[in-house]
Amino acid sequence: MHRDVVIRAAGVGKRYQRVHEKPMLLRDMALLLSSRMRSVDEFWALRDVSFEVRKGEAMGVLGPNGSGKSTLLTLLAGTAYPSEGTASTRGRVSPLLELGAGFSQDMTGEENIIINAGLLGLTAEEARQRMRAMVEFAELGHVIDTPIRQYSSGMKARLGFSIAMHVTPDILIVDEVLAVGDLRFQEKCSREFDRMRGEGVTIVLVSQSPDVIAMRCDRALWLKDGRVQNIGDAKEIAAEYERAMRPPMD
Amino acid sequence: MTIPAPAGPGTMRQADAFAGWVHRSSRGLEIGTETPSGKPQSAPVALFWALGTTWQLRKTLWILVLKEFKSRYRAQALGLAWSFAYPLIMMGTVSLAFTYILHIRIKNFTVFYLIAAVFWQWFSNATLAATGSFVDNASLVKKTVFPRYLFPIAAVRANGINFALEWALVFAFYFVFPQAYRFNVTLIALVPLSALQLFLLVGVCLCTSALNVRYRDVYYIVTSVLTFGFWLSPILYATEMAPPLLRYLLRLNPLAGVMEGARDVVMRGQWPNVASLLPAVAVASVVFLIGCAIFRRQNLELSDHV
Repeated sequence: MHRDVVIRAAGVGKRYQRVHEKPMLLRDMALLLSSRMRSVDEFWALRDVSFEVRKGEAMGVLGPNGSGKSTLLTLLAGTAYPSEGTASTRGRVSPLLELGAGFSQDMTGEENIIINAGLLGLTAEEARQRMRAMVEFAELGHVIDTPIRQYSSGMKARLGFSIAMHVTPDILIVDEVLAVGDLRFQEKCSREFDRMRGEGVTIVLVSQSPDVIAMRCDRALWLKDGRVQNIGDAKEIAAEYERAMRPPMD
Repeated sequence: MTIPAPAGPGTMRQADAFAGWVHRSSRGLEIGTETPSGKPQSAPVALFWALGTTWQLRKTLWILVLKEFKSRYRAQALGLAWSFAYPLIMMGTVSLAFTYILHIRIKNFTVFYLIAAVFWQWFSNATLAATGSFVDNASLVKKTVFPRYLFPIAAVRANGINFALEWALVFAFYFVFPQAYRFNVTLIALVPLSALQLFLLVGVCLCTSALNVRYRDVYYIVTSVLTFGFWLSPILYATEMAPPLLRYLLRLNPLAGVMEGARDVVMRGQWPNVASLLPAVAVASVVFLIGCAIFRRQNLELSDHV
């Protein structure tokens, strides 16, 4: 075992039940006890996934819709538990699965920073210490004490991204949310992303785009139908993925 | 990066304060060395860490509470006034029916009722709000590492703000029915009484909110149980009016101890009867432990079902 490994998935699988269209009622539980209903439609969103990520690495996760990318992220972020195997992480994990999680329209920008940063793992004190930097990065100094109901959607996205960038995790888990704001803000975000990598933050990035993975990551994991199709150098995997996914020319 | 930091959802923040390993498997959460031992964190340790996390996040929790509270009143023209209007109208109606029609022989019935009703309002509104709290916050449960047990607790506390405001109403009625009140140093006993009800509510709401994720009809069951609960709590009567055997049963209801204790304090200037509070403390403790156990069991699959 390497000393600098910070993420390890060992035979990880996640099983979901495609139970009913309706939420489950007690009646269903009674029916489940009878053998007739016992065959619930189960499927594995993820199966037998094993890999390691070292400190400071950027690992890309590629795959078509339904290949298990998001499921893998939730297991690494710890918002869900695996059905088999073990998902292990070391250090502070910050999942960026949704920008501005928990934003409340009625609260001011400042109050929302504390809520959102709290949801990302900061205490209120930590959020206050970083408030100024967050507000400056989002370029919202003039409206930060007004309810965010009055913000444009771009302003809200900027605020959400800015908070996430200032949580300073050991491991950042990102789900295709980097494309926010106008072109200028996107460039700023890219620089911020590179800066975090430079500071030794370990990043797991999910994207549909092989170009993004090739540009941003060191290594890549290609998921297909919930299993690892290939894992290796980001540029090679991205190129291979692109070849495989491109419709055949006629 | 020296700041102590959070780990998993509904788990505990201190998890990687020492930058240790966090392992998640179908058996639960394990914190420690690089190689998992296969033994997940024990229930007492998990509870201890949950308490520590709640303390660490108390200010964030408070802002979450304010958010709940504010969003409830935003779209209403009368806003917070409703918080007072409902108990006032209810009090007027109940007093009318019981004093002038049923000729109930309880002295100062209006105040007698109001004190218990304020506790009841908190209990029933908080339970309803908290039961749906995981489902209401589904996207946060799925997408953030915020400790999940804080969602029902935030709902309980948001309704606690109304509770505090309604106490202002109770004391305001001193100017209408001064003979009903006996102010004394014992008034400070309202603090531990409210704390006891808070403790009870947290236990109840951990049970109902966690179960409601798996079985959505829990919400409807809670609604019905609350209807019975109103009549099984000494709101419109005192437990001492019941025949002996029934009296003992009624006093097993933890709300009974709290409500009658509050009446002793406000209307008689006496300390609450400790003997009648003991069953309340015992029941609340058992409910709390059951709530923790249910939550812990459901927590592993919570985000799969919301």
